Amino acid sequence: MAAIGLQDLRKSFGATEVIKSLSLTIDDGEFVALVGPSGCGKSTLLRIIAGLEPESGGKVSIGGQLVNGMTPRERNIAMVFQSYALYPHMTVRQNISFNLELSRVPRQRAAAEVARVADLLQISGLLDRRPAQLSGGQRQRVAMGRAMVRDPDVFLFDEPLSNLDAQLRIQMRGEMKRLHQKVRRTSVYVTHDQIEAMTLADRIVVLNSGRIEQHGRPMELYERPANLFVATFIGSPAMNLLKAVAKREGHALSACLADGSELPLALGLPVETGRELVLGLRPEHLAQASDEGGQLSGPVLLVEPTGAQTHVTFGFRDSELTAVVDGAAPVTGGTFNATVLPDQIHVFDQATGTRL
Amino acid sequence: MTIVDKPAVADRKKPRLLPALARTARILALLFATTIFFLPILGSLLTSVRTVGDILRNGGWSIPNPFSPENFIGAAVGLAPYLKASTIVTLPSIMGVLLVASMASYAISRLRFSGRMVVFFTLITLSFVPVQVQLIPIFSLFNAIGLYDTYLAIIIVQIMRHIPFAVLVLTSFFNTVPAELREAARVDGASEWTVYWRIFIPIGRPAFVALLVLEFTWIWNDLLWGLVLVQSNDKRPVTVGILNFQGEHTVAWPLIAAGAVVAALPTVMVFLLFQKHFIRGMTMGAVKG
Repeated sequence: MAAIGLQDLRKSFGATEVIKSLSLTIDDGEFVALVGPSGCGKSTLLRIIAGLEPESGGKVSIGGQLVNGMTPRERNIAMVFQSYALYPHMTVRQNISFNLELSRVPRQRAAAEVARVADLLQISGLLDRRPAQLSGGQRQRVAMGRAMVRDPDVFLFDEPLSNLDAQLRIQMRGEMKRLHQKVRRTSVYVTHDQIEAMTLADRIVVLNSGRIEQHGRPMELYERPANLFVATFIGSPAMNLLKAVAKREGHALSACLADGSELPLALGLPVETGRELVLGLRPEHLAQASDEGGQLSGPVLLVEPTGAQTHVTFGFRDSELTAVVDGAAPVTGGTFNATVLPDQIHVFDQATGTRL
Repeated sequence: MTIVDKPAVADRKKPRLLPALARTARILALLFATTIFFLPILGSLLTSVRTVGDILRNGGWSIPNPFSPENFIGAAVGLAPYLKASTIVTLPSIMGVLLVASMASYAISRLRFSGRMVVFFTLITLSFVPVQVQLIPIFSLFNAIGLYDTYLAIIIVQIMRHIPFAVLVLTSFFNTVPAELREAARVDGASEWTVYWRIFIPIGRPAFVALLVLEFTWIWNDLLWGLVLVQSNDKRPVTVGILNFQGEHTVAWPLIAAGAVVAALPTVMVFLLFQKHFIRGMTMGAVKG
């Protein structure tokens, strides 16, 4: 069992509190991604779990055992760093076997373990090279091999793909996912790339200023963001936001926009007339309507074809909205007309930003 | 009729002449400076293959007549015990400097303890104290504790004197090593000592070699502490030994010069042996894994 428990965790650097009373449980074998903007505390949280940074308060447990004050080695964790941190004066073989050597594993067994991991990661032909002689992707695999060879309870990843080019990143993402499916160890993955988080993680934890904004399955965060921060952080292109005021007439509920137009909202929302709202519209839910048939219309400002899709940015009153349409469908004319279904509109309280 | 404008032609020639003149002037200046710097060495080499009579007859800068390379044999034989003493003093001093300074530099660079920068700046400013100010206190101290006229006295003083510079160099170098290397080693289970010994020392090889060459040269060539802290002839370093070729009434210039050349040979050999690493160490930039 290697579940991770964080209870009321706090961390301060001097007078600056970077992690504020954070509690989280990560199940055994779960792949959890920590995402958030720069400075939100995700790397600090990872380093506290690793034992590289002492906590200012709270408890950390791994496998049911309290690990506060324990060294990284005693916690039986392995970590892959953003820059891979391979020892430049050692060969790949020595890099991978270093921790086995420190653990006094017999040479024969260590050699067998290195060979097994190298075979799994397809780096058997690189064992006698030094890190300077490797490509970025090869170094990343060696770093993974170094982490895997000691059979840890927990894997920690600190933005391991951020130094790779776009194509290699996609390739390595797939390999990491396959690897996790094979080894099924508890993994905590820090990234600022929400696409990586969405594709890799069983569960995503969104952090902001040292607090958890929301955690859950990727599609859960995508389809039901708990607040405006999560709504705009998850999803690319980002969710469109419009201010509105609620208007209830009997069972029917609509949102009055600044220009007086109304958008019907889903039934059953606990909203009374006059409540100030923020409407969230996913770009892919803004369907292109026929001329003059759209609820949201405005001049086309930018057209970005990406192949399978086209991103269209158009002006709407004082705002700019982005719609994602089929790449085959032509975007004609100087005006874009969009419609959206009531069930597809996310409604947030304007004052608190929380989902209604 | 239009007269050809001579200044225009002269202007067209100027751009080609000026850079060539400037380059020639630079080369001449460098050659002149090189000659000035090389003159003492040339003088020593010239004097080392002459006789006293030849110098007195023909002056300091004439061609050797007779050519007397046997001066080197005389100097080497005469300096042999001093060469041995220099070796006994220099090698442990260098090892002591590198060991102590590297541990101090690792701690200052990597460990976050209170007063870290105070320790660093205190160490560095120690090198600002003039050696002349230290002579009498150190002599009195070693005399009082019974270390006067021992190899250990010179070794301790040499280590002390060269630690500040070594700490400055090594701390600057260790600061360029990515922090993640130490963290990766800690995650792998390395103790602080293992990180220092297995990771930072091997990575620091260029800096260590550069320091080794410099420290060897400075310690081997030191005259002052060999004069002050040691009285017995068999413990005196080679720099003091050369002075023995100077009598009360006469000076054996050829032997002194030959002795200087013989004494300089080890430092030249050390540099030649390590020159590739030395140059890399002196010109290194950030470390990339």
